[in-house]
Amino acid sequence: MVANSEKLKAETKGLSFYYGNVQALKDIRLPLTEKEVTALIGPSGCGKTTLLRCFNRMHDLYPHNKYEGEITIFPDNINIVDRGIDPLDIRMRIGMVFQKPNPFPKSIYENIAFGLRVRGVRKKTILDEQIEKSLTRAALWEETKDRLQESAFNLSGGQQQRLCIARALATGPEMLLFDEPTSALDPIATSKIEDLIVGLKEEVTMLIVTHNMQQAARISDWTGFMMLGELIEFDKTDKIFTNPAKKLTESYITGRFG
Amino acid sequence: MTRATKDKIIEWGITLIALTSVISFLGIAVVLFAQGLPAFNFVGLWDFLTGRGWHPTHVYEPEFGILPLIMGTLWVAAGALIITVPFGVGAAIYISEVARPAVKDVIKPIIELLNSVPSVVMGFIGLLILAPAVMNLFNLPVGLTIFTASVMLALLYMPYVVSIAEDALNAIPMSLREASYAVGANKMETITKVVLPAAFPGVSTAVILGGGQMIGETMIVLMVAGGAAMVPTSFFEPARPMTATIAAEMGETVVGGDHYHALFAIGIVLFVITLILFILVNLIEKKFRREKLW
Amino acid sequence: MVKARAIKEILLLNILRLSAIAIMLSFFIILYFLAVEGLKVLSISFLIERPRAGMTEGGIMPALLGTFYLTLGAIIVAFPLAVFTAIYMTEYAYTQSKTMQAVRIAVNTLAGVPSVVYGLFGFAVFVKVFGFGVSILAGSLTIAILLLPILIRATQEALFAVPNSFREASFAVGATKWQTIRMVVLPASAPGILTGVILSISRAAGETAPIMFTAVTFFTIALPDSIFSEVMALPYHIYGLMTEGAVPEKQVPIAYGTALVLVLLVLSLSLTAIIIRIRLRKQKKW
Ligand SMILES: Nc1ncnc2c1ncn2[C@@H]1O[C@H](COP(=O)(O)OP(=O)(O)O)[C@@H](O)[C@H]1O
Ligand SMILES: [Mg+2]
Repeated sequence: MVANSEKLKAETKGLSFYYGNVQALKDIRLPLTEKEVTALIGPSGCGKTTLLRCFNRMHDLYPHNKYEGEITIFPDNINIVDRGIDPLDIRMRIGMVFQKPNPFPKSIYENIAFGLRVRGVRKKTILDEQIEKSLTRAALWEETKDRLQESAFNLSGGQQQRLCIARALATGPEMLLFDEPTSALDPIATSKIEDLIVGLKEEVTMLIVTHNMQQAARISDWTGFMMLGELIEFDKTDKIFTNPAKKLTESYITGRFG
Repeated sequence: MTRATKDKIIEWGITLIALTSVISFLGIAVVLFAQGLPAFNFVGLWDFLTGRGWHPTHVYEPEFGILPLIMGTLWVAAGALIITVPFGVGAAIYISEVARPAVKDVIKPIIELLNSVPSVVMGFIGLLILAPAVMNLFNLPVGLTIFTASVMLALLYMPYVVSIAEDALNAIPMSLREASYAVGANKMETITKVVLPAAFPGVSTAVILGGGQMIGETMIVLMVAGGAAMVPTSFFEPARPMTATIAAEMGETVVGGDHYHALFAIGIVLFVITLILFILVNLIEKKFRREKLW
Repeated sequence: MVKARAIKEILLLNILRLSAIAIMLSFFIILYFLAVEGLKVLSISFLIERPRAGMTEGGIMPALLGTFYLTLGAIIVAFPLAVFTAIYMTEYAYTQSKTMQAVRIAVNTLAGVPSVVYGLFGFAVFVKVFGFGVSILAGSLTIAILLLPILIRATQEALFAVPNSFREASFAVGATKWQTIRMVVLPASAPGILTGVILSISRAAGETAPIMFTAVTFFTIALPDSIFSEVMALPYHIYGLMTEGAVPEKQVPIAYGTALVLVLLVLSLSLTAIIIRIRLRKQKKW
């Protein structure tokens, strides 16, 4: 079931996670293939978000959270969730896009410049260049090039989400995490974001949580099905949606529950 | 230096600054006790608290009994609460349950502006406007009475009580009101039988906190309570609350003298009252938070 | 039966309305008396002249200046302490940590300590132990401590209003905690903090008890020339005019004028804060 032949960008092994005493992830083994999209599906509350947020150590922001096991990132073979690893270093390499678009209350320009400024980039020429590049990659440049100094809140919901993607891209991440990025958007905005994700495969490895099975089928190469904190099945997306190995997976994708 | 180390150093710095409040709090306690405890070398704690004579500057037989001052404080604060509670809670209910949003947008800023009138101005108005009126209205020899001080105090702290009580009412979920309307209750019944009981802990916190502020208020009682150090027997007598005593006499004492220490000892009493009220409010919150069902 | 119920309801609602009206009315009555009597003496020269003839003539310039210095000093000291304390409480501390609990208890108790007790503390510590004497410095420090809990709470409220999604977005692109606070949280909460500062200034300007034995004098010809000077102050001037001196019929009008000036000052500050807050609510997009 594991992708042997492909080149891995990251892999979790025996990953468990606890909110205080409550175990939210149980012994997860999930490989992420480089420059491909892996989707996580499963009923609400099964731990998709929790798993996603382990990859950039978001859980470290709140007290009493505990990781067990490992997430190895390649090529350097570092365990992301090792206590000795600074979450800052991880977040410098792995970007994230949230469920609800969350631009900063700043201009479009400053939203994208943020990650660079945080890294100490001061030079206007570099900032300008990176901002154009990221907005272009996020398919937002044409719409915003004349209004970069406007507040990001003036953008529509779909544009805001693409801005958030541009913000994450600006710092050149090796990996991008998406947590139901289209759940707050209309179908047209959703399809734009989906196209964008497919296009980004050339450059980054992506892990995307989605509530929407058609979406997973449309854009992902690999799919993991989760339930009650466990990864029930993981395989090529075609395989999961046409011929799943597990009964549970089949009932879920045929809509018998969830 | 890495960003992470720098961040840690900043965190320590900020934590250190946060300790200023703790230091101030402890500092106040230490200073009050250091300067106030020596008073108990010349007057016993019990005599201090229950003595009926306050003649700290008497040349031959100074007396340091603060019962009249404590009672003065309590009478004035009680009088003010009797006025504030119905009006303040009533206004809070009106704002949160009855008023249309447009009306609310007018009332709330006005009440908030009232909140910023300095206490010395309230004392001043009490002295020049209310006191003569009280004197004539009730046929008293002087208008500077507990009643006068209570009215001005009530006015000063009205906005405070209104806003905390309103917060308590706003915290009641809409669903509770809807449930009441759904079984056919009208607005009055919903307010008196559902909203007020549910908001009771919050409203009583508002009343206690308001009472605490009244006990500690100085300028109004200094200017309009009349200043007589006697245990009051009615609202139309003058009184000398603890805060007024400190404010009036501190300027004239000899630093380090008996009177000086006695004034700090009064400070201890005020401080202890503050602590007791603080604990009380916390107990109420704890008790009701546990019972809260929504 | 049904009718009685309806009548009762109307009655109650009107009683509630009346209590709100009564409170507002009393506010306007106070303003009315201050305006009518105060306007009789208010003039430019009243604001820029020094008192004359043993406080029975002239203006209130030294008191205005004194209040300005005291308030300014108090805010300069209290503002950074309060903002960082609030940042500690909302952004850094875990609610269960011992330090956090100590800070929270201290802040909440300080908020209830009577202002005259702050005066005692200021006198014993700043005037006597530190040897600042009765001075702007001692008075400012005393007011600063009194302002701490007020400003801390206002700042905390402003910080709480910043949605957590902003913080997470910032961390997710690799910002440190301090960068997140400095570049995201503080800018987003600045207007709210500003409102709190303005309200504190208005509070500081009106305080009398804490400065009575630490900073003010009823009468001084000299204008303050250093932070160690004792000063006149508007609130204390009102009190002094009513309790000292021998010519009440000349002092009372001056006191009315002073009270009007103080109230106008304080109300315009509060009004500014209220307007900023209303604007803020309307603009808010998150
Ligand atoms: N901060 C938290 N503290 C405690 N439990 C949490 C927290 N966040 C999520 N959970 C629990 O962890 C489980 C997984 O949640 P989540 O990862 O958000 O699910 P999903 O994203 O698949 O809907 C749920 O049972 C949820 O209640
Ligand atoms: Mg989720």
